[in-house]
Amino acid sequence: MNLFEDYKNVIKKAVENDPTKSNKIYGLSEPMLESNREYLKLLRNELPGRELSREMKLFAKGMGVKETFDYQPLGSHPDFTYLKATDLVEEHWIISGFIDVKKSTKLFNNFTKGTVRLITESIIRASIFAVNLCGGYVHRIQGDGLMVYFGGKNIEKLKAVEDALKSFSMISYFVKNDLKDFFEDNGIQDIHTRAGLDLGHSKQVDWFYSGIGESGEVTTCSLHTSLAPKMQSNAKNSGIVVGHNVTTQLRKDKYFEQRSKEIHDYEDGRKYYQYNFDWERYLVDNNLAVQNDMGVLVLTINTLPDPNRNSRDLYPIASKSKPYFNYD
Amino acid sequence: MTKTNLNYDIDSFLSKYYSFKEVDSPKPGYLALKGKISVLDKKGKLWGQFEILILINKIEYPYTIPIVIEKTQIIDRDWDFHISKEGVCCLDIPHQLLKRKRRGITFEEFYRNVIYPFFANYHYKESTGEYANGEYKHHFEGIAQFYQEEFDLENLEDIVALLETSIGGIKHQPNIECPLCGKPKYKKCCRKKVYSLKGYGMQQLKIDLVLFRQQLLKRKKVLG
Repeated sequence: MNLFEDYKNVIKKAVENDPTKSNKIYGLSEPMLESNREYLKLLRNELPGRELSREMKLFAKGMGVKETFDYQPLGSHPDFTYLKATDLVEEHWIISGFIDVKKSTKLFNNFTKGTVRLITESIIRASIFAVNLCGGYVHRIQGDGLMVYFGGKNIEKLKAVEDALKSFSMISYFVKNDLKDFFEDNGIQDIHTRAGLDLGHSKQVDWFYSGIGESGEVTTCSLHTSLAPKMQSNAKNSGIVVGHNVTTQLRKDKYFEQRSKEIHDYEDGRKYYQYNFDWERYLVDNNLAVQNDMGVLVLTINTLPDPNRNSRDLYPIASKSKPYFNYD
Repeated sequence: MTKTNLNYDIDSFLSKYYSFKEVDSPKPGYLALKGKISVLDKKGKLWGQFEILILINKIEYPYTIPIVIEKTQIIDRDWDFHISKEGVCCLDIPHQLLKRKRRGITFEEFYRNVIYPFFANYHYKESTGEYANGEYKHHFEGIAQFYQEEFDLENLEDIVALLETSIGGIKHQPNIECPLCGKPKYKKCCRKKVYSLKGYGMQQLKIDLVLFRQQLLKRKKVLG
């Protein structure tokens, strides 16, 4: 099952029809650019919107989510909108996450800005889908990155942690497995995501309205919201780094490898540690992905045979085997 | 390749294939891995899953062939599917496995190129009615088929002569007429086959020689 197929196809078409490469010697004329703009305008309509694709619906159903979910508006977490334009403060736990696509500026060297815009938008839309699929809430879009909250008043903390890990794992999967090789085939090396996630407990998080009048947003003040982007910047290629509070919720050491350097020193003898999260193992263990003969992940939500499979595509693997029987 | 690399190879495998884990072995002296194989084709389409148990001889590794047992009973315990009643999978003809064993295996490579394709091939047969690369016939006929395909030999006398030469270490001058098949130069026909046979190990060659001699005798009796 290719959950992100529609997003990938749009990126593929945008790249394949970009006029930059074929006109490198003489440069791009305005008519060429205009034609490209028109093409991209039509192509944008192929991105999944509120209506989910068949694969996305199947995946949502498999995860126990409604097939038609409402995308939440940005900027105000729905459980704390009452704080808007007030002086009120509420303490409530939340998981803060940051994820973005690294080396994406290289795209501008190879494509028109229109193509880059559509690539970026496809990745952002796929990410928003993955966040909403897992019950998260996109707080802010920053170029090719997202700031996300998981949790709220009607969800258990452990469930929210699991959701956050699943969501960020799926986004990491999309860029690493669906896009990275494609970009490399088209001369763009080393595109990858980096992500950071941390949990602030209720005594560690203030929800409040930051700003003046309409020029503001309901947001959090927490060491752990502030640490999440630092963790993101420490993540290795395609990696997710999480804070200690996340690891203690899940209590499964096999997914977390403590990094040698702490992410925060309280300067009273205590230190707060960060961990590399093994998201690929987590996806497989949670039945969200399976692995092929080479160990490469493929997202899937059920173990039923794919109705569109074709024996031609199985032949290269199956033909390595030639069985024999010698038992009595 | 040293004999101390089993743990390294298994750790490396388990760090890449997440649906497998080490479990207590039901067979003393063997390391056991239990896990799930998901058969995916080149387009990433899922065909099915099998629970399997893999047993690896700790002392012999890497000069060993892992035992693979299908636990889900998805594959019918029928010899047409090359599986024993207990679910032990007949992965390949013994000669090919012995060649691997004598060279020494790396478990991950063995998983990718022998174990995984066996299960992929099951689905291929389910879908098309036949195995992707054919199959060996059962028992002796399969051995004869192997000699025919691998060495282009059908004549029982030629096979026996070849086996006797290989087992006995008989040396012939390279430029003489081939004493095994009668072609002009020994070095250009059967010498390569004699050397190649040695790769399967003396034990298997002796078993084969007995089998082929028995077949020759049977045929002579029939012909009277």
